[in-house]
Amino acid sequence: MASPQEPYAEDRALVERVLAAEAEAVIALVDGHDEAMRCVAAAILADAGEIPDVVQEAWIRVLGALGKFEFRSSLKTWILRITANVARTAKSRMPVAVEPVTATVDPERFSQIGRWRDPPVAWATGEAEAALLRQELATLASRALLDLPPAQRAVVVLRDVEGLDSEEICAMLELSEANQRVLLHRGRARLRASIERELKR
Amino acid sequence: MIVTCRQLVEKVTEASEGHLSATDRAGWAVHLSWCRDCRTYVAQMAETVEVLEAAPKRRASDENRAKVLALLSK
Repeated sequence: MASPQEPYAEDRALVERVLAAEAEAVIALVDGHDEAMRCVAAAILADAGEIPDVVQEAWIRVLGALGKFEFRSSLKTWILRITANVARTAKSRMPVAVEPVTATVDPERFSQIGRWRDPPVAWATGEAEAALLRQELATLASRALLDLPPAQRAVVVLRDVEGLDSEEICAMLELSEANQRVLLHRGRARLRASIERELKR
Repeated sequence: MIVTCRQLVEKVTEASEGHLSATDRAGWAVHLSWCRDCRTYVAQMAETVEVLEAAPKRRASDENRAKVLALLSK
């Protein structure tokens, strides 16, 4: 067994169990990565129809190489890198799309001199409401995530949901740091706006 | 330069990533010191991220689980 002090101890334990063909461990492996793999593939492919094949091929490679994985990165980073590499061999591969910089908050909400005319209303107020609100926000955010354009979604998912650092994300998606930040900003701002919209209903 | 609210909202991620220029850092601090609305906006961007970090992860569909299990038994 891997000792807890070892880097990636949890990953090591999981891999060991997967290699022993423990069904529960395989399911944990799939559950922990499949969604993020789809996001990475979607950001690189122009044709969303290619996503299932790319993810499938990535799983074949992951399972084939799992026994030789040396834990020089987290299991997640390794799996997603493989996915990105497979996606880049697909027919409809394209550079990750970075849209031109435009306003992330509706310009109508500012006065002519750029001050808030329609300012945001704070979400959390009392302690008692906070826990419930958090739950609601989590549901709204996860739902809004599905509506983001693929490149923004991939960056937000990798960064904020999966906890990868920006360097890993830039390498994986072949993005400059600045472009990665633009996608992160636009994605987060859009999620904030959807939450706001839903709470106003 | 950060002077207006409209400019500030576009700098939120640069600020949280520690990428503001020295001029912007000063403008950011001054603006937030007097503008409650922008403080609310910045707080909501941070809350959005926190909520994402804490949100339950989407598990794979049964179909996708089955696909990988099938690969393994080959």
